[in-house]
Amino acid sequence: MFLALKEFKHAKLRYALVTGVIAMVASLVFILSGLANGLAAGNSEAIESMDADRFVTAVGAELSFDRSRIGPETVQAVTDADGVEDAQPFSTVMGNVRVSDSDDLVSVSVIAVPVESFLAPGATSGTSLADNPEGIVIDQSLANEGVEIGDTLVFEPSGAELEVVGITDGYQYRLAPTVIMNLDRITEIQPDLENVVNAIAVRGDGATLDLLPETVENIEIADQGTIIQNLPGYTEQSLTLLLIQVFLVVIAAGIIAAFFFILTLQKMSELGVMKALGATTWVLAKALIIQSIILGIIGVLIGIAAGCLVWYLAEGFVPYQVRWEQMAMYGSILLIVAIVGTLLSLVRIARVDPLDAINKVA
Amino acid sequence: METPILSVNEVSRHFGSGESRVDALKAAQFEVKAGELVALIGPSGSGKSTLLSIAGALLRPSSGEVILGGEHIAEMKGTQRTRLRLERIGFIFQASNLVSYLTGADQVQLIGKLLGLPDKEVKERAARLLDELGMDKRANHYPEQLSGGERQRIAIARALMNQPDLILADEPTASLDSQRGRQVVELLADEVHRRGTAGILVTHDERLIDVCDRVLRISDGEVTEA
Repeated sequence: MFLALKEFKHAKLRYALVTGVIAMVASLVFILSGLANGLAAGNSEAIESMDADRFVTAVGAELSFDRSRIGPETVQAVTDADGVEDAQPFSTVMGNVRVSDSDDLVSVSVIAVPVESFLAPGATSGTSLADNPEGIVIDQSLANEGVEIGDTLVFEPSGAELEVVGITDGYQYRLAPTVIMNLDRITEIQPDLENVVNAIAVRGDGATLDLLPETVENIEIADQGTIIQNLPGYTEQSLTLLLIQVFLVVIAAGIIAAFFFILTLQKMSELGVMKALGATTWVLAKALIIQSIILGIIGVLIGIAAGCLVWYLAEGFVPYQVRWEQMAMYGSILLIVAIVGTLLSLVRIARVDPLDAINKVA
Repeated sequence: METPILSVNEVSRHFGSGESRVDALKAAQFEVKAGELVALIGPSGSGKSTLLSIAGALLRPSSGEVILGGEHIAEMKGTQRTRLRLERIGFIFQASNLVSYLTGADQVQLIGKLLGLPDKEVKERAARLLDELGMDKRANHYPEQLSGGERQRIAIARALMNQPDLILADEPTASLDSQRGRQVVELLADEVHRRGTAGILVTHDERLIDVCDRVLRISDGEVTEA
């Protein structure tokens, strides 16, 4: 501890810079993973917010809501089936809207739900669908584009006009701003959905629900995770994002390990002198390991702070999501490689010949 | 007769083998007694550093025996030799071999800490030594803020911190002007005499001979009493 801290104290600038490099690399890791999480969430957030235990789609739809068509008899059969506590039909369509009298079209995803069901989101401002079934509730992501309560959205090409009555959060779907509306009025914007729905959200015991296809004909059932995996493009997208993060962490780890290795190599001659004076390899190694732990922790903490700062700043502009367990994992990896980089250089310390203290100087 | 602190008996050291074999040291034979400062003088490449390294348990001889305070150090293993250097030998290297990030006081205290002495004793002993060597006022300066002479005084204090049996000084005056170099060697001689430590001063400066008690000359690996 003596050597480790004395050296920090004397070479403040050098160690501040080293900490700065670790902090920057860590920030990069945390910020990019936050953005990747945000992108992934923008695709699937609504499915998670629906808070159903299972989703039912039609056979042959390959668990895609878009391709699935379910008739009222099937909805009734599912609702009455064993193990089903609650079953609510819903539909999702992609649409284009104009805001009031503007000419600009905005792409939105529309989720149509029964207004008195667990699928209908509460409103963070304004009123919910249950209180105002004739209106629509928009996701925060659409509010961020300037749409306000009281605005009228005109759906093209049908020309249906619906008034925004509330705003909710956490309902992004398919990376588009989301509109949530009364299922009874879906035909006003999508006449094809007369008398059919895309899917059914079901609550109940998962294991029992998984047996539903045996009693109800022409359906498939899957849990939330499986549905998300089957969203169009989701698997491909998440694979890309995952690889970005893996490369980022691996390269960041390499940089940090190399940094600590170089840091030690710079001190070789001084380590030689101390060995000549009778310091053991272990005493010298201990000082270096303590240093790498302290610098690593400070650097990672700054990185986490940067990640959270961007989270705060990105609010409303860019999809961004902090996942603490992921941060803890990446932070630990960076810290461990800082220590490993130092350990690698220990081999060199062990090999430093104290004799160099006498010979090299001449 | 008084037992010598250091006995070097028939010590040889060669490097390489066959055609490229170099005999750096040929059957060196001498002793150093307590309270005696011995000058080791010779041109560069004469084997001075090899001899110093062997006496300081940094290098093992090819043959012969080295006895320091009754212990045969030629046969010792790495960790034993490290321990021996820490406990019984004081090194003074050429200028600038202080640890760059430690203040004068910390340099001296480091040895005490490595020895595992209690904190209080470490501080007291270091303060006393720095005071003795006239460095008490400059003790909180880093090496880069000290003059060459001041650095060597710190180095002497550091070498004395473990109360060694043997002090080895490797051209401590190399980077000093002759006046300051002489002061440093006189200080070293004082400490050796007062403490009854054995000392070897490697130098190529003949003018320092009168400060030392005896002179060994080394040339082409052969040591002779002058």
